[in-house]
Order: sequence, then structure tokens, then C-alpha cells
Amino acid sequence: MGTSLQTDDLFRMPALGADMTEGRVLEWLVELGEPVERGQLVAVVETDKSDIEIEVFEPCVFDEHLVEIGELVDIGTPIARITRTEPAMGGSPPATPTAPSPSAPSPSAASPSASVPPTPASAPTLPPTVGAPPSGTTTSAARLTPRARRLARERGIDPATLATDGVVTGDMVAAAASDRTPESADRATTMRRAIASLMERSWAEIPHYHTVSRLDLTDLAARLETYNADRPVADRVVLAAAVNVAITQAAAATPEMNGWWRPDGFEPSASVDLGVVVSLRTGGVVLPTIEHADRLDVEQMMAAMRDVVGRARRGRLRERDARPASISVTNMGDLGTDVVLGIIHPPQVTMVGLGTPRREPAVVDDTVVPRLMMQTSIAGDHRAHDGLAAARFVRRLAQELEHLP
Amino acid sequence: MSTTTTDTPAATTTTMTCREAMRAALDDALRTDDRVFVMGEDVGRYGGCFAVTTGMLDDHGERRIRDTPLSESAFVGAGIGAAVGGLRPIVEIMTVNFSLLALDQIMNTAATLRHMSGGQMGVPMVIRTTTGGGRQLAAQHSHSLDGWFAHIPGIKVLTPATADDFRWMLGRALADPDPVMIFEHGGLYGTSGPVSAHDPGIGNETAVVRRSGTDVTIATYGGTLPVCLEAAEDLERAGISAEIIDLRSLRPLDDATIMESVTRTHRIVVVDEGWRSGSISAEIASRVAEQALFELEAPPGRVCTAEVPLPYPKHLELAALPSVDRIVAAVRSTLEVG
Repeated sequence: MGTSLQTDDLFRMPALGADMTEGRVLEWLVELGEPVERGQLVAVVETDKSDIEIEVFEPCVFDEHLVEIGELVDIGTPIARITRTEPAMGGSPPATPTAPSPSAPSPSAASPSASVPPTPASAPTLPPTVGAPPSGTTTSAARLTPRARRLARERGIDPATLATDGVVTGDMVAAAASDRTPESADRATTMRRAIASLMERSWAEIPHYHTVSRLDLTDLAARLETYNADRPVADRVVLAAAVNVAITQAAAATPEMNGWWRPDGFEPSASVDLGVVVSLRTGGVVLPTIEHADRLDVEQMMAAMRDVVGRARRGRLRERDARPASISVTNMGDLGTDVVLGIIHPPQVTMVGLGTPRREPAVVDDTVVPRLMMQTSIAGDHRAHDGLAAARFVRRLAQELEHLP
Repeated sequence: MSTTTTDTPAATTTTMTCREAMRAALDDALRTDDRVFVMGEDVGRYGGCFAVTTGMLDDHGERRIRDTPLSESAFVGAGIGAAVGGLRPIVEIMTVNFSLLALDQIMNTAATLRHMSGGQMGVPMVIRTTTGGGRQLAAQHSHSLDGWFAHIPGIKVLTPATADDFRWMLGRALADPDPVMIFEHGGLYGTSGPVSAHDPGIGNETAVVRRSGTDVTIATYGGTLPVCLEAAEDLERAGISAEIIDLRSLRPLDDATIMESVTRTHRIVVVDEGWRSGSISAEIASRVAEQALFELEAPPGRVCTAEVPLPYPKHLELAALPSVDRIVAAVRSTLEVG
């Protein structure tokens, strides 16, 4: 939540994840003096684990950059001077961030509120400034040579970041990639170090317990097949998306497993913000967050997973993706693993682990029949909850699966 | 003459014209293999219409250097029979247009016999013919049908472009158990270059990089190789580094050398004296798209002969043929992308 960082006329280095202490601006995405809308992506910030696109929460104008590109600064350090452009009345800018005011259009902004859904009244506990960023981002359809297309894919370069009026060539992509290369070798090391320290802390501090259960996905898979039958390939929903929906419902129904362990005890989360472990092709893992995952149906979950995994693999997470999750899932179903016993991402208290669904002999009504079974593990923080909670969670998960998609 | 060759011919070289090189190759073949003989129109007493076989009748006699009637179908057919019967005929078709009169023999017999006999017999015959334009021989004697013949499975199509290849391709072609056609560009006979004292050991079917470069690959063969090398000089003065591939064989095509080069330069222009539609240049562009699309920074370019019967007037003929200017322009247009 970047709002507290913007209470003055300074835009500060945001904290993107619990383990971030410093970061550097890699790129400004807006011009000085140009009106910026609420939710607009304004800069790319490099953290230990990823490059993250950060956004603003109020209409404003960036007046001056206060850090050099690439300069490493602590979180909270002012990185730009800004002028708020809303509300227009009153003359001087407000001392505190404006509460949600989607109806107050900034005179210069084209259509700020169109892409920002009003905060739903039914969720009063939501942070007031949460809003979706503009949906389509600003990616213009760049023309790429075939080689550029290949290199962009291989080296994880987003062609939209290469400024050109003409065709994006392979050399341009290669240059952009090599600008990053020495760093990304570093990046792999830094990422490893970041993972090491977080996991070390988790393993040292959290008294883990693990449970493993078998979930029968046969009927769900059959229903999904019907569900997908007349959908275009791009819109089809995979098992993992349905299972994630069920996980978020189970998490909502098991509040002691959905939240954070603080020095003074457990703090439940008001919403289910699902962390999704994404392994990167270049090595390492990141844990982007799908916010309010309990409000998503399978189709929305599928889209959210596709988006967030895509951004993670391109090394371009957004600030939103880096907000703290309340519970996480690691899915090794693609990799043939039967059981994964997770390590909890502190300060969360639960990590759900999904193995590969397999057809295997199961006993149904005293007969052995082939069923599609998935081994599902719970890694629990025994300070926050007990095995009984995990059992209830998994039972609820199984029930939720019966109603999907 | 001062062409850059990346594959240096064997240490000792002498300079000779392509005509002399081919004559040396024929002499060599006749001397070292009793089964070899040469036949064609005017190859004996007249010394060959392009003077390749001049003097050979005296050296080798009428049994080995045979003048034939003006009937391509008959003497190519005779060549096929001789080859099947155990000899190694070298059949000269004066100019490529006359090969059309023997097309049935070439395509329906020579190219198919191994297949149709279930492998029991092959046709180890070499056909030499003069190809190409640029010599004011007008519309009927200036064809470039090399790529056309390359369409036919069962024969091999060689296109020597250097004196060394004129000298050494023939022997390897004679060693082939199946029919081989050698297309000798008429414009090359008088050009000279280094010739190795011994077979330099490059097979007939390998493309060769004649000039290394980094910005664009120019693939060509036969008569347009010198034109491309000249274009490369012009391009170099403009700061553009062109790599030139001499295909040498149109069937089979050496895909690997082409793709390897394109993988480095990311751009290709094919220069082909044939007409553009349905040409070998189309084949190469397709293969590049099939095998190396994601190496490309620009669409493949082509420089071919204008799709008209080749004009007789010199200025019109030159305008129709691939020229240095057109090659340079095609290269520049591949570099303008992005």
C-alpha cells in the first residue's frame, strides 16, 4: 500500500514485500510535468527478487526526480517531487491522501475514473485506495522482427519497453538484454540470497506442521471438460485454477489459517489474498499475490493466474503483485511431483502444496476404480493453528471443489 | 580475379580461365578413366562452340571425342544407354535451351531409371551445358534453367562459379553413380582464378562462403557470383559487410551453410539469374523462412532476372539481368527494416 508514502509532496520508495529494505528506480514510466492518473504505472523499481512496476494512488504531476536511475535507496526515501492535481478546489494540496474520490475527475486527465472501479460498498474493510490499475496497460502493439520476437521471449524483455517509432529489431532487444545481463547474473545471486534468508528465517522461526490428504478430482475434471468444451482454447480453465478458487473459499472459511503471525500474535486477514509460487526459468521463485482471490470465479482466477505468472516470468511484477498475501499455494502439478511439503512464507501461517493429479486405484463403495487423485499438503504454523484446522480446511476445500466450476 | 576466397585452394595454385580449367578437367578424366568419353554438337572438329574442347580431338581421338548429329534427344539418350552399359559419358549440350529437346530423356529416363528399376541400374552420366545471359545471344540462347532442373529429383544440379570448381567438380560428378548436370555460365569461361594443383577436397554439394561478412547474407551461384562480389565491394565502401555464399549445387541445396550464415547476419538476399516466379530463389527464401525465421530481422530479399524473354539489345539485356545496383538496393532495403 503506497499511500502512506505519499502524504507529503514527495513520492517515496515503496516497500514491495515484507522482505524489501531497499530498491532502485530502473526506469521512469511517466514524463516530468505530464498529468498522471490514479492507478497509472509510474516507475519500474528493482528489488532483490524482481522488477516491479509501481503505480500512484492519486492524480498528480511528477515535478522532479530525486534519485538517479539505478541508485540504491532505502524504502521510504523520497524518489520524486510531485504535485497533486486533485481535488482542484482549496488551492493548496491536502496534507493527507485523498480518500477514494473516483467521481472527481482531474481536469487534465483523460478518463481517470473509467478504468478505476469504485470501491465496493460491501467491503468496508478494504483499504480505501485499492483500485485496479488501468486494465490494458499502455502497451502499444509494437512491430517486431521475427528475431526480435524470439529474443524478447528468450531473454525476458518486454518489447513494449523498447522505445522506437519503427520496427523493433533483434539487435534492440539484444542490447536491452545485455544492459541487464551483468545485472541479471547478479540478480540470480541476489535472488538466491533473498530466498535463502527468507527460508532460513521461516525454517528457524516457524514451528511447521504438515498434513497430506488425497483429493478426488475425477468429477471436477469431468465438469471442467464440459465447461471448456465450447470455449476457445485461450479461455479454457485448467484444474489448478479451480483448485485455487476452492483454496480461497476454504481459507475464507478457516480464518485462523488466513493471516499473519505478528510479534504479538496472530492477525487474521479480512480478505483472502492468495500468494502463488512461480518458479522462474532463470532460476529462483517469486511469490506474487492475487488480491481478493476469494472474490474470483474460476474464469477470473484463470485470468489472474495467467497475468501474474506472465508478469513474474517476464521479471516485471507490479506493485499490486507484491502486496502481502494472506495464504499461499505452491503447485508442483506440472512437474510430476506427488507431494510437496511447503515452507511457509513469513509472516503468513499457511502454505498449501499441490502435487500432480494422477489416475490411480481408489476404493469407492468397496470397489477399486480408477480415480483422478491429487495429494494436497498443508504446511501450518503451529503457533497460529493446529492440525485440526488443516483437517477442516482440507475438508472444506473438498466440498468447494464439488461446486466448481 | 582478386576475389576473396575463404576456402583457400590447395597450397599450390595456378591461375587459369574457367574454360582452361574445364578443359583440364576433361583431359584429366579422359586420361585417368577409360570409360569416360565426350560427345556433343561440334565438340570435336570445331573444338566446341565455347572452345572448351579445342584440341581434344587430336589428343584423345574420335572414339573419346564424338561429334553428334543435331539431335539432343538422340545423343542424350545414347549417353544414357552408354552409362547404363558401363561407360562414363560426358554429354555436352551446347546451350541450355537445347536441353529442352532432351528433356524427356533427362527427366523421364535419366532421373527415374534407378527408381524404376528398383535400384538395379543407375545412369552415371554427366551433362555439361552452357547457361545464362549477358552475351547478346537473345531470347532463345540466354536462359537460366538451372533452378528449373533443380526441381527434378533423381538428378544433381551443379553450378560452378570459380575456376577451381570448373577444374574439380567434373571428376567428382563422374564418380557419382547417378546423373549430374553441370551448368556452366557462358560469361564465366573467360574469367580466371586460382586453381588448385590437386582436388581441394570440398564435395560438390557443399555451399561455400566466398566472402565473410556480418550484416547480410547474399546467396548466389554461377554467373552472378562475380556480380555479387562486386556489389559486396560497393557495400563495404558504404560500411555494410556482406557475406557471400556460393551455393555451387542447386540440387541438393546445402541448407546448413545458408542457415548458419543467416543465423549470424539475420538478413538474406538471394541473387538468381533465373526468373523470379517459381525460382530457386523462391525455394531458398522458403527454406530460410521454414528453418530460420526467428533469426530474421527483415523479409528475405530477391534479385532475379526480369520476367521477360531476355532482350537482345545490350542495354535492355543488362537492365533485365541482376546487376550490382539492384543487389546493393536489395541489401539496403533489408537493412532499412527497423
